[in-house]
Amino acid sequence: MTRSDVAYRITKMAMMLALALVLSILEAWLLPKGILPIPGLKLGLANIAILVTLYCVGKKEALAVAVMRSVMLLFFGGNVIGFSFSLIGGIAAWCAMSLLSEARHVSIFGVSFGGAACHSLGQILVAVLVTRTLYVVIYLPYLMLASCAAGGVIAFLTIPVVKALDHFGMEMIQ
Amino acid sequence: MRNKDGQSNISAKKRHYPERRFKFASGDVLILLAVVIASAIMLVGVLFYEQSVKSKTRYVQISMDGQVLFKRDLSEFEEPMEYQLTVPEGMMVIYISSEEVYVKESPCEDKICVKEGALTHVGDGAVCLPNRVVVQIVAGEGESQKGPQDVDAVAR
Repeated sequence: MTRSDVAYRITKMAMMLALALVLSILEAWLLPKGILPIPGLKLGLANIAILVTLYCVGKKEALAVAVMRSVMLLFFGGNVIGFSFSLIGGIAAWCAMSLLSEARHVSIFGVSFGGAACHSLGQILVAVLVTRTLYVVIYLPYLMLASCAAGGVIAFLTIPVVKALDHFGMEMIQ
Repeated sequence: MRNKDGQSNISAKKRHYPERRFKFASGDVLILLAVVIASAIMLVGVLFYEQSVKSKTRYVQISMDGQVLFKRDLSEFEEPMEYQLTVPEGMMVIYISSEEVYVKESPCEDKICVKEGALTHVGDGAVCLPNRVVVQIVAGEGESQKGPQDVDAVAR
């Protein structure tokens, strides 16, 4: 890999990180906290950027974008608890998505479902650690089902983005 | 990432990203099914647990950082009381009567604990994550605070 290749990949990652942050802020604006019926439930618009990174740049880069998104959101006036939720959720979702993206007979929808389900698992894990009670596990089944629906919507929204990037030949610009 | 062949020809480069599969496939159905089944098992488990503790004495339990701060039999509260709790962000007020328990005021931002409303049955609970407080109704059989002390008194 040449130096210009490396620079190009870093640039793409930076673009995707910016996209992820904008989508996070847009989501906070569209769906303020507590408007959805299940605590902790989110649409996860930022996951569009993570999925696009996974499909157009690479797996490691997707993890980097997910982690950096959490860190940057903490700098943009988040709290430590929210940070640990998004970080652990993001890493759990990445593990599932990067594994599933290699699996046969699994499309981007399956990747997104798996990511969403593991994101809820990670979140509930953090909630158990934060509250130090098992009570919060009660939310897990509801959260997992609802997040899978959200995952489907996100996958649906991601497809045209990846197609457009392929069409404009993101890989060919240098 | 570290192939040292120094190739600049992109078409010959190794593909880093997964194959594009955009059509709903059989594996997706399997994943969805796995999630639905796992959720259903958990829901049934919770339901059975609630059934098994329904008839027992109701206790209100308030815990913070996993430590139980307050635990009392609900039937003791013939006169309703307001329990005030100092939390990291300020003061939390919890209403307790023999019928119901609810979080009346909370300094937190999202107020999920307040929106949870009245807790009446064993298994009901309100969680305030920002302040790490859990208010729940628990079954109190054999767990009353007097229990161990009574044993001690007898042993002495």
